[in-house]
Amino acid sequence: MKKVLLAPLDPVHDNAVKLLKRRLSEAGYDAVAMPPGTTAEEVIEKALQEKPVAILISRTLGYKVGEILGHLVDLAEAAGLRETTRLGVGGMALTQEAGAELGFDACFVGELKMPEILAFLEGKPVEAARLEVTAARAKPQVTEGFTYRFNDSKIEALLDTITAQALHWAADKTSAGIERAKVRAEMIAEGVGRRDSEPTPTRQALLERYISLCDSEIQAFYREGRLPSGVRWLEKSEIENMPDFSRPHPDFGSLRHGDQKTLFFSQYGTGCPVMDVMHIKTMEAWGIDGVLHFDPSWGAQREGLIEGYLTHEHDGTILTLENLSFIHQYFEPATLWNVRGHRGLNTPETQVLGRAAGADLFKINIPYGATGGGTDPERLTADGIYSVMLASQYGIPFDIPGNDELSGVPPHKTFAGILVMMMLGLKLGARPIPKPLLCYSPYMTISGQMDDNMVDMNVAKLLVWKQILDTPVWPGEPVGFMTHSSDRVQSAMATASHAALASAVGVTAATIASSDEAYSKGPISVPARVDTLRAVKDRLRFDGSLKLTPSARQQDLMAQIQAGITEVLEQAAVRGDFVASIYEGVFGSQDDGLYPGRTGRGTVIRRA
Amino acid sequence: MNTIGFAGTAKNTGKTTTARFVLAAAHRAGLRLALTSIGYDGENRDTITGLPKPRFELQPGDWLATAEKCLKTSTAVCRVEAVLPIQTILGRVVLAQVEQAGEVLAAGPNRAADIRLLLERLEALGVDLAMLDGALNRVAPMNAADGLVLATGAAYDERIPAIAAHAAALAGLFQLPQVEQTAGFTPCPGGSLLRGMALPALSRGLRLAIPGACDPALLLELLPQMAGGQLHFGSPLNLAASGSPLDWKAVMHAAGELQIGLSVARSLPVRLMTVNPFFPHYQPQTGAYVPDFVPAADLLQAVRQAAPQLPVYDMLQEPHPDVLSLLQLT
Repeated sequence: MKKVLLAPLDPVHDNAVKLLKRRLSEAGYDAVAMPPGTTAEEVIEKALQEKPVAILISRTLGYKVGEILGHLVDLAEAAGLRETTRLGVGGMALTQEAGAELGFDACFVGELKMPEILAFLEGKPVEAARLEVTAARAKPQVTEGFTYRFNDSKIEALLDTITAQALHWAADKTSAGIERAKVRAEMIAEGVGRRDSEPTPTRQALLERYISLCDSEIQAFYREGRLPSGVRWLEKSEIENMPDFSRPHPDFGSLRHGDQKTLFFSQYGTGCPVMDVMHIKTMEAWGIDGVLHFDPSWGAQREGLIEGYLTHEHDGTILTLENLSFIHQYFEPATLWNVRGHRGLNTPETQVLGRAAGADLFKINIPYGATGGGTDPERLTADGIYSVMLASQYGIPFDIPGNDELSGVPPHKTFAGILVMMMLGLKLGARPIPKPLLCYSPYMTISGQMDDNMVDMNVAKLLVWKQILDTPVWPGEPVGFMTHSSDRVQSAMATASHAALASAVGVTAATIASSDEAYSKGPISVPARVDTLRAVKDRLRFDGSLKLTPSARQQDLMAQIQAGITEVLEQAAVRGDFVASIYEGVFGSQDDGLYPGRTGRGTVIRRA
Repeated sequence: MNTIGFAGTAKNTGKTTTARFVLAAAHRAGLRLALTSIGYDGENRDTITGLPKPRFELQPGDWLATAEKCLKTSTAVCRVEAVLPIQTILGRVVLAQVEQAGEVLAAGPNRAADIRLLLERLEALGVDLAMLDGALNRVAPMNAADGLVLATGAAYDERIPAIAAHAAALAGLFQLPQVEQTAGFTPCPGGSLLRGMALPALSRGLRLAIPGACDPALLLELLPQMAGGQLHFGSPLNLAASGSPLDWKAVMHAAGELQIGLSVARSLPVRLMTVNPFFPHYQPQTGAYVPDFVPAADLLQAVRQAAPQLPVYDMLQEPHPDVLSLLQLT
């Protein structure tokens, strides 16, 4: 059994030493721990007696502490120990550079990471162990293990009726958005999908066809090089001066603790692809599992997408193959990537671009995208069903955000719409993921259902899904919506509370916001992102494996929601026209605060 | 090849500043030189205080032994000659030759055995001067050097008399005579004399060899039992690494009274001592360090008086010494 000597070299604190002693003993080492207040001389004396393979020192670095640690290293050298005993140090404020300056053989920065310690004790390179831990992270599969089998046969039957009608309706429909997606897919397949692609006759012909399907503003981009307002080309120097992110972040630490399973996502879309990469790399370093690409809202209202490396001075990063590919090349292999296309006139083409750039997940929701300031219901139903077909064809799961609740819609209506999307997905062979809103929604504010607490209703909204079918559940978007304020501490804490609730309920994933997301008055800042990530991590650490068992009140609320969903689906089934149901407010009425989208009205074409 | 080590009594005592003077002089003299560090040198800011630090600039033809990671962040353009079988926290040590002048980060081998391996390679490359920059108060790896530059100053202690007394005691360790013959000496068990370890059987007139570490306070307690004897140490650097030079001064005084002879197996000449009036002043209000200074002239005078056997300079005060001559490199 290899012997390891542990010493705090600190007058008081030896927690780390005691913890390490337990962990090393569990790993099969004979760990000898020295008490607080031990001097460098005493450590070396002990080492000469015990002949350990390594001495591990725990000490927070500060001014003059360097000399104490340096003295220990010197004394080990003078005593001839360095030929046989390796020296490691860990503690707050230490860096690899400081460890090198002190003369140690290894420096353990941040939280205790046993793979690094064990690699060091076994004479293996610590950095390799650090990278192995990162490299060993497999990309999670959000929908894996779910059967999508219905537990509520009445809802299943209603959904079957509604979606059969919707699919039948869409069978002979097309639109400029669908046709552009086909052209774009062909351009990519032919290798001419980028602005700097060779201007071959194939590209020229396909591009001309594409341009003919665009509105005048997008045509002006292609024909006259005119950029939309607030958009400029990304300069070559901006692309070339990117930092080297080719190596995995060595200190990845999951937000989860112990056996927790919930994956955490956060959105980006600063407008600038370079800034996006910095945000993503920061989020990865602080433990995010996946990110969602947000595009400018105006992109949803134009017929056609532009091309090239483009930066945008307002929120939302422009959807181009170049931008998406540029951003994605910097991802760590395990980071999941969602490219949203749940609304707007370019929904099908977004799936094409996302797939070409390497997206793992899509986002499509017809009832949500076809309301509020969104797209005309008829148009989005045609485009949305085609997009779900693409998701199926590409084997890429899609999530269904229930953010129409933010307009004041009660959860059962939003959930009914989500369920229609799920059944459409399942019938077309795709893997859908419902995204119930986990927040203090307007409906809850007005109805007073969260006056006492925000737990009961949110738990009911998350657990009701299990009663309906076996599906992953991914609350969003982001969790804690409308509980955030301009106080970053409050905001981070509110997100952490919601994230912890989601984890305790056992959902598959959750989307968390930056602490300044609601009040940034411009681009989200990187420090504010870290606020939330740290808050969530600490809150998850605090809760550990605590599980939430539904109370009688929560079960009652679940039953109410389920009954409400059934009622909405019955109305839609009786109406016999999915598109008309959206227009008429079955999934959310004007009284609720929702009205049909207007963009793209009258643009659906019946195929010959 | 000459190998000069730049050791300090504490962090920020001026090791790198002195080494930069030597580097510049060596460049002017056309010496083929190599630079490495037993720590991490050449960073823009101190890894602990965050205050600005001097950086090394190398010229085409110079050799650099540094960790792989540091080579990437240097502005000098280097050609890697070899990757050495020396592992450090910042990666393997590479031996590189500068092709285009620029600043470098030096973080080389930090154990004496590894330093010796590097020096063998440098000698084979025809290097005239190998410079080993030190780190903090660490001195023991400098055993591989041929000569030493000792740097002290207000970063060690802000009281000038304390700096001077310490400098004098430290210089005294390097005055111990070198005796290569160890026949007739009783080896200390385990090679080191530290509390809690098995002690040798002591007797009057004992000739005891302690090649490793030695606790001066313990030795002081044991000395009366071996009056008239002889103590033979490994090197003055091992003594400096084992305890305060002031404690060693007390040992030397007691040994003299007890007629105990002191010697070292390998002495190391101190060619130059430098003083630095700078110290980082901690500001509790802001939690930051700011530069502060003791009176430079007073410091220089006090250390010169305390260590008259050594050339003592403040490298930032005129007149500057002919460092190559002091280091016996001309």
